Amino acid sequence: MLNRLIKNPLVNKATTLLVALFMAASLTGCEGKWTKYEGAFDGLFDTHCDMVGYARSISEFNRYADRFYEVMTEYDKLFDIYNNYDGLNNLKTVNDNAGADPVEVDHRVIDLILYCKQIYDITGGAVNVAMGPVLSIWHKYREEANANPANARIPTSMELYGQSELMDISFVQIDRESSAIFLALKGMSLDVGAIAKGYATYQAVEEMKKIGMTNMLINMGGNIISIGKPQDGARARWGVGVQDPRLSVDGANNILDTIYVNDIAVVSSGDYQRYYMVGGKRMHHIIDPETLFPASRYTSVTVVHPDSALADGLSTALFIMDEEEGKALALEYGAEALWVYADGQTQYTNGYKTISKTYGGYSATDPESLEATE
Amino acid sequence: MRPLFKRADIILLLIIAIVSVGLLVYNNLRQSENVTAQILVNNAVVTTVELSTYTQFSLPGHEQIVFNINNDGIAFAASDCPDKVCVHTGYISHAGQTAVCLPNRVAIRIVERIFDPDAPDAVAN
Repeated sequence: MLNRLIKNPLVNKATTLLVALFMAASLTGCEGKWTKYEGAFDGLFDTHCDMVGYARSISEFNRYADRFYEVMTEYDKLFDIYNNYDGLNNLKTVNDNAGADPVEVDHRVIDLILYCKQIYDITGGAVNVAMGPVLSIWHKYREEANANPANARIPTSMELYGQSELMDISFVQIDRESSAIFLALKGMSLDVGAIAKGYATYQAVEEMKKIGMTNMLINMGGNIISIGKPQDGARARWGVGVQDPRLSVDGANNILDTIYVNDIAVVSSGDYQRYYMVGGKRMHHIIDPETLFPASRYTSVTVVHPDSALADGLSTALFIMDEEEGKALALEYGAEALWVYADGQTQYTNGYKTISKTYGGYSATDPESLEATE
Repeated sequence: MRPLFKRADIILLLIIAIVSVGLLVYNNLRQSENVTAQILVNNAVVTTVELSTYTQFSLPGHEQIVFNINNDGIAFAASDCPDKVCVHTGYISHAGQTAVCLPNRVAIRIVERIFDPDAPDAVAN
């Protein structure tokens, strides 16, 4: 509280220096020195992953990275809707048996779908994993457009609305006792794209923490998860950039803001990565369950929350909802958020400002921010 | 009548203006000088390129991918991948930014040369 009242930059600087000195002193007290290590992999959850972390040795860092990769590989197979694996029932098996048979699956699949149902409830249906039939129509049109951009087309409303009765999440039946999922109508399918990546990352990070990981930043296909802080003796928090959703006229991909965080996930949803163009209109991948067309209120929404699964779900929900509803939802679940409109205007929650460089003037070494997050 | 601005005021304003513009230019210059781009194939760094040399190039064995470096940084100028997510990413030049061509398993990562405490470690997108 005291720091909040100090507005004299000179005083602030002095405090920063003290904090830095204190850190240097406490570092020398440790056995072993912190070193920064990096790792990367791809092929899981249809994306690329970068890891940056501090450990006492390369073997320590590798132990964490290997564990993360191992857990993510298991989840990737279980949550896959495109591929079958020998001797494994996954979400594709569930989808393939829609309207026919319940499918016995690993408890991790049951837990995910139960979680997705919760997300459906708290977002008032904005995030619906039963939207598979509609999303696969959009997927097909996007692939056709990618292969032949001159012939890019938009699905008709008839085509999309023809699938709407198959989107009823109450027909996703879960029997916990037999650990089975049954899609009650033929033609139903689950698409967990809005949640699965954040959900799996959360679980895999927890597994790394169990074996001692304390300081890492993971970039799982644009979803950022920060654990601890950078052990460089200078910074109290990790810096996470928020991409400007629109390239500049010359095609530069700029950073709209940098936020400084500990033990928190940062997830953006936007119209700028997966899309195709039809007559100058951008047809992106986040489909509003009410209109069955791409949500068009914003160009990007960024959500900050300790739980990466919830951050993932909320970023999609907030991208679809109007700002007022979104702000209320963020407040209810303790999330911070930044909305970017098509004209470049931005809105943010009160708490977002307290971690933001652009809107709050904070930095990674700011002691004031330290107090806000620890 | 006393003039609104005295000669000294105007000089002071000019100095402030020049210093501000100078700082702005210096900051921008420093930013591009303080970063390099790593190019990764199959998650291993195969080369590091300077962003100060404007050029277009491909990696041996990956001629289907063309990188371009200009004033705005480095970008995937062309790729044979179906989704073009890499090309859509545009020019990157800030520490922590990445551009990824997943189908080809090629990535560009911007890294800082000199430690800048306020630079992001990663970028959400």
